[in-house]
Amino acid sequence: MKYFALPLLVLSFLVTSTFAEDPHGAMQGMNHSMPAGHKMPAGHTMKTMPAATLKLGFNRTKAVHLNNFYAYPTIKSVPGSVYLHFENTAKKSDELLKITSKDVKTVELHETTMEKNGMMLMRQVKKLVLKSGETKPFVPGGSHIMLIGLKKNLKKGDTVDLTLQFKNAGKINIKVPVIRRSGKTPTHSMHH
Amino acid sequence: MIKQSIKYLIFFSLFFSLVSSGQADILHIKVYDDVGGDFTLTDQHGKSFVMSEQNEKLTLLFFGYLNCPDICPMTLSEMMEVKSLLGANKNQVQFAMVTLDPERDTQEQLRLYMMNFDPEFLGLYGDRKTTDEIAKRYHVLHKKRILRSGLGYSVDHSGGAYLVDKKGRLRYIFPSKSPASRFVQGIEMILEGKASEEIRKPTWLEKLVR
Repeated sequence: MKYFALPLLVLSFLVTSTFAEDPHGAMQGMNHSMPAGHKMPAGHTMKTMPAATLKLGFNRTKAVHLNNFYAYPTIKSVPGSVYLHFENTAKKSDELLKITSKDVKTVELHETTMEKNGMMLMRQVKKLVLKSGETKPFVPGGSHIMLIGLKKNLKKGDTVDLTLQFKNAGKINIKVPVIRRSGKTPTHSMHH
Repeated sequence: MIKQSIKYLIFFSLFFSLVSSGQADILHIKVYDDVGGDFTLTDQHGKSFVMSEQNEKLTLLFFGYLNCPDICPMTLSEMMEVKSLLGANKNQVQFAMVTLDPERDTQEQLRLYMMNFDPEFLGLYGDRKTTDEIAKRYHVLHKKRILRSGLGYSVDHSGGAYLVDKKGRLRYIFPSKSPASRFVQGIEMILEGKASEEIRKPTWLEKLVR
């Protein structure tokens, strides 16, 4: 017993202390593993956001609600991103089939993840299923709708038209407001 | 027997992570002599940027690419926050992003891009060889990855930001997702001469990894 426990014990000490200090960053990602909001329950993400100061978009015309949508200013030669919260209020699950826009050549879903070695990866998400009652936050550092091939630069006050097609909820048209980029993640209320 | 060992492991992991997270409030700033170093790049206005000649200001250096619409803008936003939190000290610090994608991120692209953040932030670029060399010396992992997406390719890269002092010495590496207050703390410590000037010794784990 002792022969087995001791090395483990020493190892656990070394590993935890090294990771926690990590001044070099070789192990970054262990402490700060997931992006904010990424694996948090949806309610938690909302609560951490201060009261409304910016006008974000909402669409609750269909069983799938699209809440808090916004984009940031960007030049058209690089991709932009749209953040939002998907909320499936229906009794059955739904699936996002595609997103189209007259303002953008290609619209895709992408997810940012961090590997154990600190590498940050961005991958396309091919399928988005929303279970009944589920809320999926697409927030900075987690997932985003990527706008590739913008037809114009996005400036504060502009809007981007998107059409999201769901298997059950059907088509939802939204006008995504472009909001000012500040030093902080945007603040907004849930408008409940 | 194994169960008991696992219990030990969990207990000690928890204990030491608690102890070390308490210590994490203090920044152990030293001087790196094995990471970082001098380099020459060009900024978005076409001006040459020599790391060792930045004697007027501390430099917060980070790496990214413009076709990264999520993490890199977040880093830049955070740098905007750091700058505003610095108050009067903000003139003592410059913020510089080195592109890991010089093929796509031209001088003009960098110039336009930075306007959406802070035009005073520097967007630095060099040729592929120089970029790779700098990344290697600063221990930035990066890898071009072809995506079957409208994006063409993405550049997987490690995060973190590098605080370089007015003598061009690397003083601290902030891991990804460090809060803005940590940066401010580190900058203030150096400006106020409260940081240690000792040469930092790599940990056993870093030696192992290398």
